[in-house]
Amino acid sequence: MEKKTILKTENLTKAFGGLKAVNNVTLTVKDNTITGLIGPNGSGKTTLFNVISGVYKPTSGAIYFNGKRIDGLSPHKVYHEGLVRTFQIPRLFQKLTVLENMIVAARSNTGENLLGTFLRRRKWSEEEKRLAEKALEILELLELDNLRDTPAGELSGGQMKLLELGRALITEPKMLLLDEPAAGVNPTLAKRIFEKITQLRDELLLTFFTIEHRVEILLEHADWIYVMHNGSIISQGKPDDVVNDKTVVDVYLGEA
Amino acid sequence: MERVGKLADPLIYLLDMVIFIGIYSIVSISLNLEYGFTGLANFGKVAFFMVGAYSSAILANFGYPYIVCILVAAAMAGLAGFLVSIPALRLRADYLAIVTLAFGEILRFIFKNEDWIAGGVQGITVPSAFQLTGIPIRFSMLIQIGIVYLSLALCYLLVQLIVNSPYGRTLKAIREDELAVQALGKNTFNYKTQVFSLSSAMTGLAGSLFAQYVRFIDPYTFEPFLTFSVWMMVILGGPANNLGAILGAGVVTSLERGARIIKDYILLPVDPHNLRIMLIGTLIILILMYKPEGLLKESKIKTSALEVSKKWRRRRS
Repeated sequence: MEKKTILKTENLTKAFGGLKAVNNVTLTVKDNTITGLIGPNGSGKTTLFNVISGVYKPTSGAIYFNGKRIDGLSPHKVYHEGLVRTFQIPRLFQKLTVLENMIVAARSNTGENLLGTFLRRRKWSEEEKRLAEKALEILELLELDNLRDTPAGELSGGQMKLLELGRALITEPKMLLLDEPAAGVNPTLAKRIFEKITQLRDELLLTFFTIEHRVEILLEHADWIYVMHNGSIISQGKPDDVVNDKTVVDVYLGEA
Repeated sequence: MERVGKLADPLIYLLDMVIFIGIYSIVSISLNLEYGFTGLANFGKVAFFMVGAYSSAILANFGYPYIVCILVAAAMAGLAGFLVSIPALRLRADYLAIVTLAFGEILRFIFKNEDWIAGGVQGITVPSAFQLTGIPIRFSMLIQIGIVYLSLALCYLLVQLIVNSPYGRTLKAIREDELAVQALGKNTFNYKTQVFSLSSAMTGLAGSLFAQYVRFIDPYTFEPFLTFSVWMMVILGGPANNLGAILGAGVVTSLERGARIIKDYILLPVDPHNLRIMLIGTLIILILMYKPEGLLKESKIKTSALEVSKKWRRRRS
């Protein structure tokens, strides 16, 4: 069964002065898949994510999400389209509690505009309860619910990664851009994070586009892999095909 | 305020201090909303205080009733805050500090040099809002206290409502990591502009109360030192805690006014103004060394989500 395309980039380029960090990248991500993006350090993976999520404007090229052109939109507008990203180093709100980190990420509610704060107290109070329930359910799924009142700054590295994932989930995204969800956590937890991601793909029908340096774990769970080198896509395919591709091996191990 | 020539009534000194604590508490709470909760380093507090004081003074000279003076003063300062915020809030924190600091000085020089506005260096007297001739000075001070503390109560309530809401939670999130808040789909610029304008309006209100109480203002009243005093109040009391902001205002104002008052009673080997600066400097060093989070801890965000969280614990264990 052919899945439909949810994200497409066409000849996407991002240059910083003379350096093309992202060079003419054309790729597609199919709906309800885990699509991996690998490549050596400095190959432009995070820059590509920054361009897709609207942090940088592309120098040239186009990005389509769900059939709509999104290149050049600001980050909060990209988010409203249902495309949500996480960061390589978790960007949590350190002094807010785990639960507050979750709720603050939820789609804006009535109490988030200044007048609504005063005039629609009852309404947002109800919304707040509903959001808290939903947040706690996601935290339970991620096994973080016991830490809900702990400031996010006091979590371990792995817990921060999970919270970052949870914070993206509560926004009810269509697709998530995950920047190294398993970096800096122990192998067991890394595996568990990817099992959770697979579970979310199957149960919530989400799409994941994920950068990961722990290639062995990613290959186990991904449906499709793109390989990036010096800003360009040099290979793509099913995980098994990609690992046997000579250009990929050269890039990772150095040319023979 | 009518100064008493000979050794003054100690009660008047006390009431005077109470009034100043009230006025500075309002400014301190407004800076707390900006810096403590939202992380905006506004180093131009004195500018908005000055806008409020001058607006109020000029209107009072035209004979407008006091309530009009107060409200227009707050509105003018809020407008000034809004206008400054549009360019300034696009900048990073450290640049924001410099721009706001410069704005205060520019404004002070305008009031100083353009004497058609409000008398330039000659200053401007503020007619009393209350036609209470022949009543004891203590009594008129009590009325002032009533007005100041009513205003303080309203400002405190307003800020408490703001910070204990989803809106306030977003403000704290902006303080922690603005880019991440944007990635979560929130237009942080709007939040910051609103906070900046509202805080400036509150500061303007305090400026109006100040002008009405001291009854004479000139550009030298609004040196940048006032901004730093207010910063000390917030840092000392504990950022992101409104009671802390009031406590800080109490401690700093007591030291500042106290140093002036004490010279009337005992002979000091140093100039009381210098003593004041020494005392506050020492206090700030002690606080930063031993209690960097301030006297009171950051307050929790109290919304209905907190109740849900508590029930969850009971359900699970």
